[in-house]
Amino acid sequence: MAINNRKPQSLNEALRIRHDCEVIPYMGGTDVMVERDPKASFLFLGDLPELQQLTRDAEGWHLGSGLTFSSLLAEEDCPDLLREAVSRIASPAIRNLGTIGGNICNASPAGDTLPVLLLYDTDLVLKSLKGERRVSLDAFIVSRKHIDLRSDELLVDIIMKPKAYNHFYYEKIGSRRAMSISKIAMAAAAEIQKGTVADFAISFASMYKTPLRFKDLEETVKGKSLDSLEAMKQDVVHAYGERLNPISDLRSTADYRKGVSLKLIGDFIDTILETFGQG
Amino acid sequence: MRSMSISRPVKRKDFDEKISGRAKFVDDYQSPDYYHACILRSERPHARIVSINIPEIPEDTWVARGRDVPVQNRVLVDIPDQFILNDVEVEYVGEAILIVVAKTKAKARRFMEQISVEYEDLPTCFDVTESDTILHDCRFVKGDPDKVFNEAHEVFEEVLTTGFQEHAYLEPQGIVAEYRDGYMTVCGAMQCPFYIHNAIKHAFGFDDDHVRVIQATVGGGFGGKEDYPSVVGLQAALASYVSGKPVKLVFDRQEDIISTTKRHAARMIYKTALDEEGNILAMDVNVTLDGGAYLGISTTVIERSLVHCLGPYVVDHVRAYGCVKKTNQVVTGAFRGFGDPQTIFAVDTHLAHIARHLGRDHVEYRRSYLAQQGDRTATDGLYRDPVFIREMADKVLEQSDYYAKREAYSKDTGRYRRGIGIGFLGRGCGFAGFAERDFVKGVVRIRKHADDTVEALVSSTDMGQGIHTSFCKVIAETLEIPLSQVSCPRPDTQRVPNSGPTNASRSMQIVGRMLQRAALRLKDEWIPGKEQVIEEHYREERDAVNPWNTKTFNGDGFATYGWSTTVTEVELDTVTSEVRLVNIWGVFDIGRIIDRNLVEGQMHGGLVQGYGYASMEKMEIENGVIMQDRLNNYIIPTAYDIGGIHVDFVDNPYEAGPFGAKGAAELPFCGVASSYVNAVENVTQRVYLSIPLTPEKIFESLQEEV
Repeated sequence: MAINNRKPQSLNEALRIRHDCEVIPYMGGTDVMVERDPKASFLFLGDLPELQQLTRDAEGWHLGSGLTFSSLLAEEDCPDLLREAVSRIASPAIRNLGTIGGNICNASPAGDTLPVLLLYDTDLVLKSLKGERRVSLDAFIVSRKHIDLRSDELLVDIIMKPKAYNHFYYEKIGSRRAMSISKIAMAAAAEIQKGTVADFAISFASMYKTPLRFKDLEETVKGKSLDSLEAMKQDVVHAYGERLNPISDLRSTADYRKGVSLKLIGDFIDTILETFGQG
Repeated sequence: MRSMSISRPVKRKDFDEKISGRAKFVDDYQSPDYYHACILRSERPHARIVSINIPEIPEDTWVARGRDVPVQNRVLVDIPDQFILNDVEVEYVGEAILIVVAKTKAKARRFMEQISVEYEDLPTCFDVTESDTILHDCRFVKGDPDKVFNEAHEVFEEVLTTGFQEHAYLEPQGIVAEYRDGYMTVCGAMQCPFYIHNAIKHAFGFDDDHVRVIQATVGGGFGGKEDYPSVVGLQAALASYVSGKPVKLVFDRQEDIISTTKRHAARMIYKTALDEEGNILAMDVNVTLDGGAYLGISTTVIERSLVHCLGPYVVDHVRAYGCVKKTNQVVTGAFRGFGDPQTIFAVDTHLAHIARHLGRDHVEYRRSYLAQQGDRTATDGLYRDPVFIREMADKVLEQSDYYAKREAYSKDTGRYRRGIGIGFLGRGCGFAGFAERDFVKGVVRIRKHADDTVEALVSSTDMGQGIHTSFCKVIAETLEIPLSQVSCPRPDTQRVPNSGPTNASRSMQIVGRMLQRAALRLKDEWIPGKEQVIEEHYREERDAVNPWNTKTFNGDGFATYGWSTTVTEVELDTVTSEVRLVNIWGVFDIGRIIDRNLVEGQMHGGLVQGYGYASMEKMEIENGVIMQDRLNNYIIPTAYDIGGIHVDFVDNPYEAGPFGAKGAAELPFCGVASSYVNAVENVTQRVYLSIPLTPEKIFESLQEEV
């Protein structure tokens, strides 16, 4: 059934089409156009106001999956770390079209928003005519370009949970300074209270077929004093080194990815010590 | 002071049509009569084609094969070595096997996808150091290098390498061809209409009058539309010849990248004989270029590499050998600089490394070997015109505040550390030796219409560089008439004489000079209201001092030389090994400037393209397959990647050029790589022998202790 030219006027209509037809849902189209399948049918979701809200409640931030990167940047309530990651995406033209929902569902190993969303234990609300279910981002991204989205479902809501982080770190290393797919992206955040590491989180993109976060390694740092953090810095870096086993591809090498990631972790810890340490 | 006013910028002749979107690039040519072609390409790097299984061909669809070419299924540019279509033994991934023609591109593609090819794989070679097939080689000796090397105190040796480079012109290749009533007309993206004209005559056996080649508006060339459009033109022509329909053949970006020519990757061994004081006595240079699967035009590329193996430096005793080796990879061809960016990078970097090895200041050391008027070139020609490269060095060092910055940056200790580097170059303008006189034999025509407007009729193409505007300026200035009265149409071989190809930084120096001479004659013979045509032919205006000898590679390689020096200021992120380009300065000697605005545009573009070549434009070919095959993974610099660009010139009018102009287009490109590497070395205190110098290589170097 050819539905390429249909533009649903409501989320319900979109869900109906999604239920009835085999379609690839898209919003800005910045990813699907790159490797477009001439035989596929597409469902355009970019015009649905229901998917373009950013709200905040006790659960956290609710990001409509249809929020474009540009509109996220314009939202006062957009979390700073997400804003930082989004501001480094591609170019203004692509940011005007690309959406956060698209970035998640494309499930690229280099997805720019994914490391930040992981730091906020993000949940996703998937809706179909039958109802809705909620999965963690971590579980949703199964593998490279492979997501846990059923053929009648649409991603509607992205919930970033509240965090008390008071220290942030973000690095995107691309092949150039704009219009670039990352070789390494690292998002990190910490909560430091009274000289103690109350929370500590690091995540990566472009290192593996899915974005990475190692919660067990983070636990080894939590509750430690800043002095202990300083003392254990090399051990933390080393522990990450044991776990990071990046790929070599046409963009970069495994050695570079691993070596630089470990330097970034060290640098992240240094920035914590500089900001909150005695001195 | 008329001669200086020529440099004042004017509005480009193509400004309105381009800014309004009216300009028609080849893909803008539309007609309900058009058919579309798709090319089935080899998936194997070297294989015999055992069989091709073609399903029943539907109505209104055609399949063109090499055997359909009426005279010779070969592409003639320099030598007829490549096939138009090859269904016998393919030599690289992407080589064209056959063409499908149908009413739409989608129909042609759908039918093409049903065709299957059975291959029998043959031995492959992907590495020039393992290749035993020399496609072409050349050598020369100056002085007595054998004796000097024997007596040397020390020999400093390095192996330097450079990578492939993609032209990344904005507009991919494309041609529309129409064969009707025995006449073949092709129109499209090209730098050299008469190359295609000649190639079609050769393959189809048509005479001059039965082939017509028209240039469409072209969106960038950089050499990529010098030799390769002859391949596309022949393929489109054959598709039309077989189908009897007008056929459009336009590549998408991926097809363009995998099948069209690249800059030659190079491996260069430099050995330098030094005396006790560290003075350079002699050099031994060995250059190997990766030719890919066919020689194509690489003969002249390697010759150019070799002639420029000393860059701007003077050494009395030289032994040089260069070869193009065959690999089962995409064919390498013309690209801005044409073989000398490789050796200019190598020699300039090598000299800086010698200075470092000796514990000497690399700027002063290199400066002391820079050529001066009256010095001898690598091939024992004479630098007969004034040479200002030392003054240019002083100028760029001052403008960039080089020494103060180098001193200040040496104390940088934070995460971000700056460095500054410099490079020098000199290179011949136009073709080598007597090629203009003996082979090109260029002709130009100026036609004055009855309304006293004047048309420049030349085969030189404007591909965005603005040469047609500059030609008009030369004519208007000479005739002392308003610029609006002069035009220069896009070439159509039926209307314009063959003034030679658009390459080698020759257009203004050679074709512009002929136009100036024609305009001077017209001025003398001017009769208001009368139609007049003036034709001028190329002639040597100065006798060579030491005439070029093609066999011994001895003598004046070029009529004159262009010079430049480039300072690059960078900032290294010591955590990520990324390098940011903070500033780049270039001082150029291009004779006298014909339009400051256009020339600055070329200098800016060349510096940016050179920066890409030096730093980020990585093309890896694995088992014959190009890994970076799109513009989202073949990385060229964006405006965001470029810091300040500062361009300046010395005025050094060339006596045999129009208003003193000489070659300009390639100069800015060729000097960036050594300057950039020098700047990174200044920060890291490591030595680099290879470009592109990526963050991965820098990171690796920083793992080692100094």
